[in-house]
Formats: sequence, structure tokens, C-alpha cells
Amino acid sequence: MKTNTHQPRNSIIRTLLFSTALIGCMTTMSAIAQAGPLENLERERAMMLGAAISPTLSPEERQEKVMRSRHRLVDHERIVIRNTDLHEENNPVTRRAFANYDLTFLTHASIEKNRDIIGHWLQELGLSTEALLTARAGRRY
Amino acid sequence: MKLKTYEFQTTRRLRTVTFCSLVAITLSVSTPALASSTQQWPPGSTERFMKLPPKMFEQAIEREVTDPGLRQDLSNSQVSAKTRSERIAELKEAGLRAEGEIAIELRHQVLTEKREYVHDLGMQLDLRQQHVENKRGLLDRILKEINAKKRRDNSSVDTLRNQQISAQARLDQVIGAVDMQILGTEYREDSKYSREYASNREAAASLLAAIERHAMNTVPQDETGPMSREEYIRKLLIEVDTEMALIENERELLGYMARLVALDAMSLAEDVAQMGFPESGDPMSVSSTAESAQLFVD
Repeated sequence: MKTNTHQPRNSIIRTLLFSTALIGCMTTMSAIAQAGPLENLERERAMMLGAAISPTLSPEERQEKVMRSRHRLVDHERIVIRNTDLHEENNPVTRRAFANYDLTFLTHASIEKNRDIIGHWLQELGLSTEALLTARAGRRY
Repeated sequence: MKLKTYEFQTTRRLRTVTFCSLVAITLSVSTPALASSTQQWPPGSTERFMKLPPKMFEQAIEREVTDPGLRQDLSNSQVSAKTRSERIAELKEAGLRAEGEIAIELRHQVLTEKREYVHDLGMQLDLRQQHVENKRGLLDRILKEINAKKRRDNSSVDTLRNQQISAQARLDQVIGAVDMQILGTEYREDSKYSREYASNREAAASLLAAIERHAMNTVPQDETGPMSREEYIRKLLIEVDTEMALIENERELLGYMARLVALDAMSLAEDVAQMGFPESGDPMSVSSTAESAQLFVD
């Protein structure tokens, strides 16, 4: 026959497990929330591209947002490239970022190839002017 | 059933206790100690050696493997050996002028001093060998750590590093053009990063040059050119192995000296024994039995 002493013990164990899980989640979330140089770059780039493709902005507003982001991106890109600690963060995000220089470091790559920044980005994604002009709607057989 | 379980537990407990006792006895057997300095040299961390500049590296290794007790023992042994060699020379000189029992006594003293001298030299060799073995052990560990670190840096890290290097190269090629384009626009304020990076870079370049020129940072060279850390450690290991071979060589000489002392001791013993018998005739010689018969005939 089970005695009543088991019930308080079970609740203590349950409390401990819950506390451990909670602390683990908080630690993980705080790690995710930390912004390194690469994360800052990607956030700024995402804001710029978001502004570039936003349907709600007028062309002048779009141009201004993109230009403002571009000059901030210059510094972010240089900080990431010059960061000597980054190669120790051997994770898929960092590896992918450096494997795709032309997509990661948009400002410098676009000026290197003598293109405007959004045009360069579209070109790297395969959405060149020629591709778009020759595109047609139809059934794929 | 309960009884069998109890018996099994008892047997198991007994076996455990017996095993533990054997281990304790084995560990407590004392090995002959050379001197107070021969406590086991504890292996320490090798990480700090890998960060040292080349010139300090060898000195740090020496400091790490040279126990103060060992150094003192070696020094004492050297002083003792020197004193004994002088005494042997004095006794030998005195022995040339002496005769009879005094000469025998002096020879005996010479032999005693020679025996102790050989013992002192043997002690010196043991201490030197211990020192050299400690050094070899430490250098081996450092070299293993360097090679293990190389293996730990797996290929994806190398790839990432190379990609960052080539990204830096591409950036350097286009940085002027980027600054021209960005500076020309109204949106470019003078960012703090760009303002301070240039001056920091100049300061870093001059500091790096000073580090390269520093006397403590001279890279060890061989006939082919500058040596890497690994090559330098291998060179030190070769020197250590040479030292160990020389110690073995000296130990062989010591063996011959000990043999000579033993032969001299035998010679002295024979001379002392000779002195105990009259000069005339063979002490073991007896008259012929036939000659003795004459005594019984008359």
C-alpha cells in the first residue's frame, strides 16, 4: 500500500524538473537574443531589402530608406569581414554567410560589380532583367 | 534462498576487500629514492608554453623541469666529487712516500675514496638523467598538444578562415571605390567606426612592427630559414636525446672505473694476505710423507 509520503516527494521532483527546464529555456532565449556582428549585418540587410520590396512605400521613400540603410551596411559589412573571432563560430549561419560573399556583403559586392544594390541582389537571386523579360506564363510540361 | 544470497554477497565483499588490499600493498612498496629531490615531477599544463615567444620558451622549459631540490643535490654532489678527487690525489702522493703497513693503509684509504667518488659521479649522472627525462617528457607533451590542436581545427574551420581571408582581400580592393561612392551622397555621415578604424589601423600597424622587431620575439632560425614552433621543439628534442646518449656514454665510463676500483681492492686484499705469511717458501707446502717416515723408523 502506498503511503502519503510519496506525494510530497513527487511534487518536489516535479518542481525541480520544471525549474531546470525554465532556467534552460531562459538561457537559450538569452543566447538567441544576443546580437553579434553578423546578426546585426543581417538585420540591417533585411530592413533594407524589406524597404526595397515594400509595396506601401513611394519610390522616393523607398530610395531614401535604401540609401540610409546602405551607408549603415558599409560599416556592418566591414566589421564582419574584419572580425577575427568569427572563424571560431563555426556554425552553419557563419559558413553560409562567407560562402556567399555577393549576397552577404551587398554594398561592397554591388559597387565592385558596378551595379546598384537592389539590382545586384536580384541578379544574384537569378532575377536579372533578361530573365524577367523572357519569362512567360504557361503550363510546365 | 536467503542463505545463498547472503553467501554470494559475503564472497563478493571478500573479493573486493582482497583486491583493494593488494592494490594498497602494491602502491605502498617504496622504490629506492635517490635523494630528497626525486619526488615525482608533476606534469603541468602545456598551454602556457605554447603562447610564449621563442626566446622565453626554452628558459621556461628549463625552469619548469629543474626542481630546486634536484639543483641542490646536483650541486652538493659536484662539490663532494671535487673534494674527493683532491683527497685521492693527496693520498696517492702520500702513498708513494710510504712503506709497509702505512702504505697499505694509504692504499686502502685511496680505494675507499675512489669508491665514494664513483658513487658521487653515479649520483650526478642519475640527477642529470632525471632532469633530461623530465625535459623530454614536457617537450613531448607540448608537441603532442600542438599536433592535437592541428587535428582539432577541422576542415570546415579552415574553409571558413580561408573564406574570411579572401573576403578581406576583396574588401581591400574595393574599399576606396566604396568610400568614394558613399561619401559623395548626402546620407553619409562620418561614422564613428570609419573615423576611428583608420587611426586604430595605423596604431596597430606600428605596434605590430614593434612586436616583430622586439628582441624577445626573434624567430629561431636554422640553415633553411625561420623555424616553426613545431620544428623548434623537435630541434630541442634532438638536443635532449643527444644529452641522454652522452649520459649513457658517461655511465659506461663509470662502470669501467668501478671495475678498476674492484680490481684494485682485490689486489690490495692479496697484498695484505701476502704480508701475513713468512717470506720463505710456500705456506701451503708441507714436507713429504716419505720423509716423515724416517722419524718412525729409528
